[in-house]
Amino acid sequence: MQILLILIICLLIYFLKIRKLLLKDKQERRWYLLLSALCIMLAIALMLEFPLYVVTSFFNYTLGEITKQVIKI
Amino acid sequence: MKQEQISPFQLTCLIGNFIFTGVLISVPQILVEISKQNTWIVILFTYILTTTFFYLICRKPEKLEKLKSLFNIDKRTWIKKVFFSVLSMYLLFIYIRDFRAFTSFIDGILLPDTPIDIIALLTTLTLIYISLTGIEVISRVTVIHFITISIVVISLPFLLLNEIQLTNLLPFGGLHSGAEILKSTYIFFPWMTEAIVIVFLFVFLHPISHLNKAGIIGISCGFFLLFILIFLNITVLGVAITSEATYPNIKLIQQINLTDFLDRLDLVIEVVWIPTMLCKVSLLLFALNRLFNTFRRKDSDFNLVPLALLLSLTIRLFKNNIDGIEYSFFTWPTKGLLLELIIVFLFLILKRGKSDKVKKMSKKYDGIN
Repeated sequence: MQILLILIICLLIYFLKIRKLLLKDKQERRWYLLLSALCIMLAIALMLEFPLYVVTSFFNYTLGEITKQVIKI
Repeated sequence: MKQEQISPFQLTCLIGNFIFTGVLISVPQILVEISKQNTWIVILFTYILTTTFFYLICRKPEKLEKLKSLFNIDKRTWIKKVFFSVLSMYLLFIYIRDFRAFTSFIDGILLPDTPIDIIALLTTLTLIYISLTGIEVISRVTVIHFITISIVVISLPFLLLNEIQLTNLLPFGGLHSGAEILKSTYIFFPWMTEAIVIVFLFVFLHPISHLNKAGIIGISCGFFLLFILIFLNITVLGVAITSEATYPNIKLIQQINLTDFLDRLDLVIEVVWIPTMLCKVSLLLFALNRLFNTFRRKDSDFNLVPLALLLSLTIRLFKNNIDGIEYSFFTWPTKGLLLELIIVFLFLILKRGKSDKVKKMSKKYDGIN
């Protein structure tokens, strides 16, 4: 919750700072909103304790095992 | 928009800092665990391999002159798109790995009561501030901090003179030493070959004819500093302690015992190291933003802030500190090596393609005359 709030505040402050420039450029505005939405969604996913670490664990089980086999030889 | 430029000396410092500052966190532990008292040979062996690899990319730098517009928003071939994708992925993985290692270090050693998310967020705000200024400022900041940390590392043998025990280096060699050195090299090589970040940095270098020299001096500086640290790890701490410690270099600098009143000199050295790490990660953030801009065909820094904030959440991609260390020690060598080979291969194709085109054009021109 704490991290989500801080992120929203940071994004909002930055938006207020560059709003005039963003209003001029439609494509930039779209990208800004997309990245901000992704950021907030990821923060919500973390807040709900989604197991995002499975991605890294997958790499650890596959590529990590290859290295371990090389070391064992 | 004016093209930013960096000098060969700045490139040297950027490369040296890039390969040195991330490795010293915890990599010496796994190296010493595998190749024991012979680990210093691994550094020399990997140095030869890395410089050869680097020379392969940077030889005949005049050919790279034509590739200077590589990251500009112009028409892109499919090979360029593949190259950008692999390079972005590679830099992203380095960013995730180093950012996690850095925040874990601060969380574990310096600020144990502060939540790791807050450390990550505050670090990200600092990184945004540095990255928004551009490559020229990042280079200048890196030069100052890399020189400072180099002086500190070079002075370490003198500060630890009363603790060095050369007998820790014995027995030299051994029955399985060759295999152990090769295994350590397998782990160490992808870390040091991060010097191939030059495929991104060369576009800013002026004059480009100094690319090879600047890069190799940078790599040599990084290796020399790491050699000092590994040598001291073995001679001061010994193989047993180094292979057990999560942060062996912190243990090392805690051994400095000059006078009775300078008992926390390690904190001073950590404060010198932290900005060098920030320089490395800010360079990565700058590169990622630049590649992101190339993809979306826009040349602006508006989206650096949301991108950096998004990346700050990647610390949660690791369940805990042990997961992060396992990723660095075992997953990264294989993953890094694969990506590095692909990047070098694609870059050489791009380089060759461009130079062939130039040759054809000049032949055509000669024919007309």
